[in-house]
Amino acid sequence: MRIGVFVCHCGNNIKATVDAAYITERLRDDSSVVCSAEFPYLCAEGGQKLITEAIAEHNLTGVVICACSPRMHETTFRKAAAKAGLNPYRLEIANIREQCAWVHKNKEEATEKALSLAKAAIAKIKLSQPLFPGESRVTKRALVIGGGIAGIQAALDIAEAGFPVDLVEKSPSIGGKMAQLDKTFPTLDCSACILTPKMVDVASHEKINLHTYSEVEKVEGFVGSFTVTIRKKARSVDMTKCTGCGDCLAACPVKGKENRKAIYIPYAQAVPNVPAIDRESCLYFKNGKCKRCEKACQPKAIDFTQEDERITEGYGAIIAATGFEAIRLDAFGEYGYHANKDVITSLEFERIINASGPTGGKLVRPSDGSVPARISFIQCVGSRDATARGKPYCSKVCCMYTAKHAISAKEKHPEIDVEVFYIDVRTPGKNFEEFYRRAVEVYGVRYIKGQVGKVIGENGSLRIQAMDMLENGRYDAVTDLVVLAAAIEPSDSAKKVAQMLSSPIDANGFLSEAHPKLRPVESATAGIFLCGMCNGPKDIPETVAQASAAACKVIGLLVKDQLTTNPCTAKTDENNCSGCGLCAEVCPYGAVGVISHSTAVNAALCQGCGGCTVACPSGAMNLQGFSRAQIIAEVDALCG
Amino acid sequence: MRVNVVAFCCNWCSYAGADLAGTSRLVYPSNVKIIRVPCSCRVDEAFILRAFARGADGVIVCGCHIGDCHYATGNYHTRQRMESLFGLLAFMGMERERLRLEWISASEGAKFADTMAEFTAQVEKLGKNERYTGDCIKATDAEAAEGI
Amino acid sequence: MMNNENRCMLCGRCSAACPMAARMDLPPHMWVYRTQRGDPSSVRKADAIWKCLSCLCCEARCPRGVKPAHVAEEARAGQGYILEDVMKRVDENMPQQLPVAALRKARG
Repeated sequence: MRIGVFVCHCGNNIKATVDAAYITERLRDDSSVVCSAEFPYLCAEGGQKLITEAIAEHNLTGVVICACSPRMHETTFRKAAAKAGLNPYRLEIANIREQCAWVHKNKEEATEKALSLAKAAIAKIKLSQPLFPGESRVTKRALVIGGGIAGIQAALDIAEAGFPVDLVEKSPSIGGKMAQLDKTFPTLDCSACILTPKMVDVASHEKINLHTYSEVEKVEGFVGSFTVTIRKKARSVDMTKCTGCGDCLAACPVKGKENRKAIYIPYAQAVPNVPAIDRESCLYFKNGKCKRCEKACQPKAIDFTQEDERITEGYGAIIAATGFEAIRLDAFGEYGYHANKDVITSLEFERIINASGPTGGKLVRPSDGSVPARISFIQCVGSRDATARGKPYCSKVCCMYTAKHAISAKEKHPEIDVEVFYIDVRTPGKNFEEFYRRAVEVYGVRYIKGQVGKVIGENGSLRIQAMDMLENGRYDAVTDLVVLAAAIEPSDSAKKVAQMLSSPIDANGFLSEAHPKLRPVESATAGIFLCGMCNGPKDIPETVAQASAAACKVIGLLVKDQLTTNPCTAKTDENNCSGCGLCAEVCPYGAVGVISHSTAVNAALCQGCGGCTVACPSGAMNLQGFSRAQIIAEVDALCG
Repeated sequence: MRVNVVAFCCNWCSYAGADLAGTSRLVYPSNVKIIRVPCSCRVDEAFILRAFARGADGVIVCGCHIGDCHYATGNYHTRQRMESLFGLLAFMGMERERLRLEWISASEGAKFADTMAEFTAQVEKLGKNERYTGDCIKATDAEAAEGI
Repeated sequence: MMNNENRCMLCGRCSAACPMAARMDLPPHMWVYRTQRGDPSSVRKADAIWKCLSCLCCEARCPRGVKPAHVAEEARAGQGYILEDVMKRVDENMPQQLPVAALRKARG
């Protein structure tokens, strides 16, 4: 074999800790190494040229690159090899940056280790084979999980590009949290006014299939050919007959959860405008009585016998857009949320000032319906909290929505005294700082740098004990309404969805992107894309941008007729195979078939995990690119 | 003498976690050398025994957290086989602490560095592996005295 | 070092939660801030540390895991435990827990 070794300095990143010259020299001891060179930046054009020219000049049949992690530039270097006429799988990378130079301080030790890693890569490449990618099909249909603004935008973009898309939403209507908002910062647009046209577009678009009151139950397959089972929960209303007239709502005698009737439409602008029956509060489902809605319904759309329905569909790509919730405040007793009606969360305040909310938009206290003389907003409840009861991150949207709430309150009643207790005021978006300054300078909102220690209900009012950090003294006052900016967290279904998609989540439960800077809307799992709050705290403009970006990635995938598959697939040596089938049992993808005393691997389905290889008792099964001999050679090189 | 630690890391989680430890510039002992595998289920017991036979003093197998395996079920098989392997090592008279199974996700750079430091310290305490080298299991002095 | 004052982000929750803060010349967040800034002697001189009840509300509320009450204990411990001197610093109208807290040895 004729191997070329290339050692990268990566500027000073590697060179400062690993003696590149020494390694370059020592690796020549191996008689298979016919060329060994070092270079400041192998990934740059000059470095690529060095490699391609060396392949031609020395007739190299194998290349070892000692540089950064293969997860960084394996594709880059493989492309270079292919360009020079060398099979790209005759190239191996030794990770001497992330896993050597960057994690060790002692130069001698780091250099010896880098040499060892390089030798392991050389040992592996000596046993490599040229590999050729296969092809797999692409189902030209997309699935979007979550019907908030993120899912809605993504679905619209994909549909506009001409691809069919299924949008699955677990509640009876799409719209998500944005539909619950009154106005949006910093423009103070009416949230429903800018959202509902998109919701209507989704409902009427011929390429979009809307599955509301539905959940994803199972996901199988892989990029290009996912198979998904969706459970459509029983609304107890026939959607084909319902006209949305609302007679059933009027007839229902029950007050169910969240002050709604047992049969309910989540809100006036719901899409679809079809009610659902909450079977837990419905009198008929509880004790067989009532049925007034059925009597009131002219089109005869009520169907108490309706059952959950399951559908199975194929998709080429999936977008996760499962959104967020506010955290529960059980661990934050000091703010008196559960003890006092007039201590509310920001979302509850939003609903109060919303004309389509429970008070018809009147800004009144929940306890007695009076207009508050003073409102105190408390920021960072549960955010920026490194202890077990909170979230370590900043929830990003609260400083802005509180400024919006303060302005809304002042707009409705200029005489209300509004104060905001903050740690920092964060205004990271376009026109955000100007918006916050408007609240202070034009509307006279008092911003107090400091936090509240306790909120105590007293004589129908609320007493707060706080600290004013700039005065460096206690601030004790009486207020009428306390609004808590509770931290946001991923929605409860996020973890379940992530596991179904084999998509990684981080320590805070957010779905992880493939690369935080360069691949913000892709999951590490091919074919899965992310957008919106499910991936991290963000506001509406960022969410919409991410949704369109994710849609763009999906469209890029769906336009392809074929996908090239990973060539590092398992392969059976029929001479040694007895057809025991243990390999087939282990395979998560059903890629191994047992055929008359032997097995065969479907290279299009095989994802290259290697489980079958280890299960095989006779060693007939092997994994190309990570063969038994190759790994043993690496072990020998590292331990020697 | 420095102890040799071989780490098998799965490409999707633990190898990425190791990379994150690198980008975060966290420090851990250079005794640890990583072999990349697509999934922790690729790690054959034979590789681990080979590592010990060729001079490794500690072997650690790292994979995705249970339920989060990139290949859906791979790490379940890893877990089950490693249990058997621990039993085999005990039968061979080798210290159980020379082998470790750890689940480390791609976002757990700190956990990776801490685990490697801890494991290396543990292996250093056990000293060089003299029980199973070459391809033989060496008898202990007591066993030799009894003519085993 | 019993706790890392650098973690403090000056939110003020400790002082807001402290039942004695209104009567202190130097509130709990300032003990941490001054120590952070390399001026622990001003903390030792403050009367406030003798008003601390060691109720640990500040530590319960701190979102960063900082321990102002332990800073106060270290400040008290650093001055020795001559009983007469301690009792001179302690306000006789203070709740009973205070003398006990004031005499408790600093623990890790």
